[in-house]
Amino acid sequence: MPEVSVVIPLFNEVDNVRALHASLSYALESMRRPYEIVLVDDGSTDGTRRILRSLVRQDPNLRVVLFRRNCGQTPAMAAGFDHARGSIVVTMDGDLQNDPTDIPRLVEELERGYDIVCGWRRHRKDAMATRLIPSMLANALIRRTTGVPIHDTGCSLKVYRAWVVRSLTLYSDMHRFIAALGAGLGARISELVVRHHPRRFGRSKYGLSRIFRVVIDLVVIKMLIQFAAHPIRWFGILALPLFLAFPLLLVLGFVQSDETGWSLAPNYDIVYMSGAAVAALFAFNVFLLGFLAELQLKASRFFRRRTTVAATEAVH
Amino acid sequence: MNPEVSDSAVAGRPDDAGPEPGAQPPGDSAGEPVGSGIDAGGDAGAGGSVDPDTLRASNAFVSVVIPVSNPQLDVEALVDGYSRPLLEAGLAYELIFVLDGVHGRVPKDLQELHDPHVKMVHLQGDGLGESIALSAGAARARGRFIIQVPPYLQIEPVEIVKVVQTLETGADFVATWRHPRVDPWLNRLQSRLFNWMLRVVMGVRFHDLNSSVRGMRREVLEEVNVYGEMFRFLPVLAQRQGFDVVEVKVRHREEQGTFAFYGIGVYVRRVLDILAISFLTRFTQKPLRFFGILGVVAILLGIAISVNPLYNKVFLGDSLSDRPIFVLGSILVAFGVQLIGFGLVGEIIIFTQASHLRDYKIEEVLEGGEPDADGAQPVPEDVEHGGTEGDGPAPAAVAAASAPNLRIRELLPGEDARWDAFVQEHRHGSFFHLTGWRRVVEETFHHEPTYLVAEVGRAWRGVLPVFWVKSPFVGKQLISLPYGVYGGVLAADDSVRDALLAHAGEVGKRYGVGYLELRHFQPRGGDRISYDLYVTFRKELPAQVEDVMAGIPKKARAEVRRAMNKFELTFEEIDDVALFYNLFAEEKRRLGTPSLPLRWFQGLRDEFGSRIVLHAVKDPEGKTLCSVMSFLYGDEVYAYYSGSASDSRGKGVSDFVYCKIMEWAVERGFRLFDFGRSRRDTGAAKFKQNMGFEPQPLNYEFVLLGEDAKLPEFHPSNPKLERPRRIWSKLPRFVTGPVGGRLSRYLP
Repeated sequence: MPEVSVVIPLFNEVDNVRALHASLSYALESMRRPYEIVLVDDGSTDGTRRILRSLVRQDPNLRVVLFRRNCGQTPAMAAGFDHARGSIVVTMDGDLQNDPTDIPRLVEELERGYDIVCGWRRHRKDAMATRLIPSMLANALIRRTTGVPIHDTGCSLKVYRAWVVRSLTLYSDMHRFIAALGAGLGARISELVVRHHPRRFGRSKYGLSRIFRVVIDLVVIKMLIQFAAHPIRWFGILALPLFLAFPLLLVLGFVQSDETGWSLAPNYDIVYMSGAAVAALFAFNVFLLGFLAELQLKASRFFRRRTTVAATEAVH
Repeated sequence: MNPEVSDSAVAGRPDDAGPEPGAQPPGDSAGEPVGSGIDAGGDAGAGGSVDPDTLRASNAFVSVVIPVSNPQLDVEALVDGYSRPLLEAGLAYELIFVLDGVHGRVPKDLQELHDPHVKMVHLQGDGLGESIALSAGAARARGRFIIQVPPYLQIEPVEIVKVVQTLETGADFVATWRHPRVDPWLNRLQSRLFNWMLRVVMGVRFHDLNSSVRGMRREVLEEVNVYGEMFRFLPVLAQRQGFDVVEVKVRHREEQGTFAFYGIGVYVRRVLDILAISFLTRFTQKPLRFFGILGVVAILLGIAISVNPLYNKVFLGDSLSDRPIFVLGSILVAFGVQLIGFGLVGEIIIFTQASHLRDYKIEEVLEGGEPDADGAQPVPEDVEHGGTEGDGPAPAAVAAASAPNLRIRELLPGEDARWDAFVQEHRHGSFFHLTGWRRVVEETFHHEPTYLVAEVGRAWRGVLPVFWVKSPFVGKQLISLPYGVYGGVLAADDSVRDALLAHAGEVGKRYGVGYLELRHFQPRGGDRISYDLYVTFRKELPAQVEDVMAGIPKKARAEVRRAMNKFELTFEEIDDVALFYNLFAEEKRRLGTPSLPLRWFQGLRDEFGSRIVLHAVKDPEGKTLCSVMSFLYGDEVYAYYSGSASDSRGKGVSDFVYCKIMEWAVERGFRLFDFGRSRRDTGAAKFKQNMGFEPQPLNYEFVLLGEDAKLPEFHPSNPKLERPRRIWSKLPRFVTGPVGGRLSRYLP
């Protein structure tokens, strides 16, 4: 059984894939421990699959998962995790911007007693305006909201203990937040500076528009890691401003202000009373939504699964 | 559900007995031409050798699923109508009638047909709807390709073959577009409205989702769940799932009568369906992205509304406020908060259910070191690429003059590369014949292309690209090719060419055009109406750069020297389309003709990339005097569009720039220089002659189609147009630029 599994999603990387395989094999051989490379082809149309088929025949340490069509990076990552057998799982990009020779260092760091080790591309080789500045902003935001002190969420070179990736189901764009979600599960996290190369072939597949989605995703992640066990608290916070607005508006309905100051109004002000009623009504609604969320969580087996995975890994 | 499969063979057709249930589709039917001479597999049978492509064609076993819910049905005509084209194309097929609460005459009639191709599926229960009928039919279907058709002949049945062919070229799903529509205008309007709304809401580009003829691979139905009225959106859902969805035009057949509004409920349901589907496809995995946006908008709006009344109340002492709008504001704010709450609940549902939403499909897992299970077979994607590009034109292998087997059809999506390869190998192919030209003309001017292919079996024998152009100046016409100077038929021999022209004539009649204009360069014999207004100028380039100057007549050579030495003009390659365009539009205005729009040149540049080159001539101050856009085609250079500044006269700019372009071309190993066409005996023609080029006649040709069709008289040499041209040249640039760009659509 391999100890280290490297999971790489590929999409139309025909120029990179041979070089990637060669440099990965070289780096992993140097560790002198059993390893496997899991390459997930996300429905490439440019001949990547042909090369993968020929590579897989030559290398017994290679597993290739071919998707029927293009499904996206997160599903590709999830499929890779499902097919990885090692107790240590490494992820990285298929475009050779990460350096496979960093992997042994990261694994060493992991074995000092961490569950997740993130790469940090301290000296990035990307365009300043479209990549670096948005990325810096996003990272600062992510650090603040999640409370996980890593500098470079976007770096896909990361090393996990297998239980971390097994206990998470990945969907949508979640692969970017595995570390934050892992922290929510109690994983210990470390960070190492890694090398970063400019892109050699092909085109980068992300752009500026991503940042808006990252913000929305963050709200979700925040909820999931801090309140997933008790969503009623999160909905309570959401309903709080409305609860506070209710008495304020109610009072405003009874008073009036003039040059002398506040005084009791002769008749009460129906407009502000109505506002207060609306606030109270919706506050209760939002709060009760929290119960629905609790129900949904209780009905699902998510937490049971998570604890069993963590427990079996601990026994190992 | 309780399927009944009739399996008695029809007497008198022993070669085509019904395939055994469960057996592989028959592989030998291709060798045996069935029915009439139009047969996809004909040449394999005749030549004796088995072409792998032909075999592949025969493997396409087609299952036609016909959901029936109306007991009024002319079974015989229907079976006959759908069977005939499939038989003629030599395809193995089955017709599956799914009876949704239909009893009595229809199943009896079907059984009495004793056609081995016909199967029946009875649904238990009434009015289960088309989605369930389709799934039930597909469950019984044995074919790789499933074609859904309505229980009446909505389109010309021949078009089903086109759908199958498109699936064969690699599409996963084929949506059809009934075009031109022939049903009552009210139905057309409703249908248009529906499709327009869908485009706006979902941003998908389908023209005719109501067309109930669709073709799909089996996998599509396995992956895309349809329920209720969702079958209508199958193309959209399939596309969102990552399948390759292609739309083909089909000929619409006269439909009887139904000139009507539906009940109001139908419209409401349609709208709700569109909303539901756009939510499901876009936000299933990210509910907060949807609800969050709505919520934030509501909150901001609410705050904006209520801030003013609140301020007045608290600080300005509005005692009894008569501002009920504050209530609206507070409702909006509270509602926004609730929407965000909904989004969060949605997120929690998705998070907990995500493991059930496995959203990837594995085709295969390969383990390292093992011999590849598929080693013996060709890798699938290789075959597909080979199919479109590899087998190219290669007409030599096929026995010539096999006219009975010749088939004319439209170019299918996905065959562009094959078309281009054919054009480039043909002696008379030109830059304008390439499919890139089609894309840019279509995008810029919205003329409708019909690209015809003549094939024998699977080998291509000829092509003819035409565009349908409607213009208030010259009427409706088919042109091969608009905005180009060469065009027309590319064919292996005369019989193919005549067949293509005949077919184009039919296309023209369908569109109701007056004539077909073929911009042929090469003459062809026989009786024809031609048009000798234009000549073209082409010359072989010398082998050495130094010889270019020597090849130019003395007088022009002196001009070039003067430009170089006296005016110190410089020549360079540029990248700026806008710079070229300014000069081009300027010159066109001077000449009194509308310019082409900037979009056109940008489109060309984007489409053809490095096959379009821009050159410019600058004076010592750096001002650009002249710019030329050239097309590179094989070893030919077409100096095609040019523009010059008004103050560039008398400096020999034109002589200089073309001399330099020729030198540029020689340096890069081009063989032939095409100076473009000019009207006979105009200044431009004389200039080109002075540069040492001999005029060659262009054999433009007209095929009159309409009853009272006549040749167009709308060309710049017509004396009647003298005045508008003069007026045009006096108008200011800011008028002629945009107006001319629009006008040029009608001046192909």
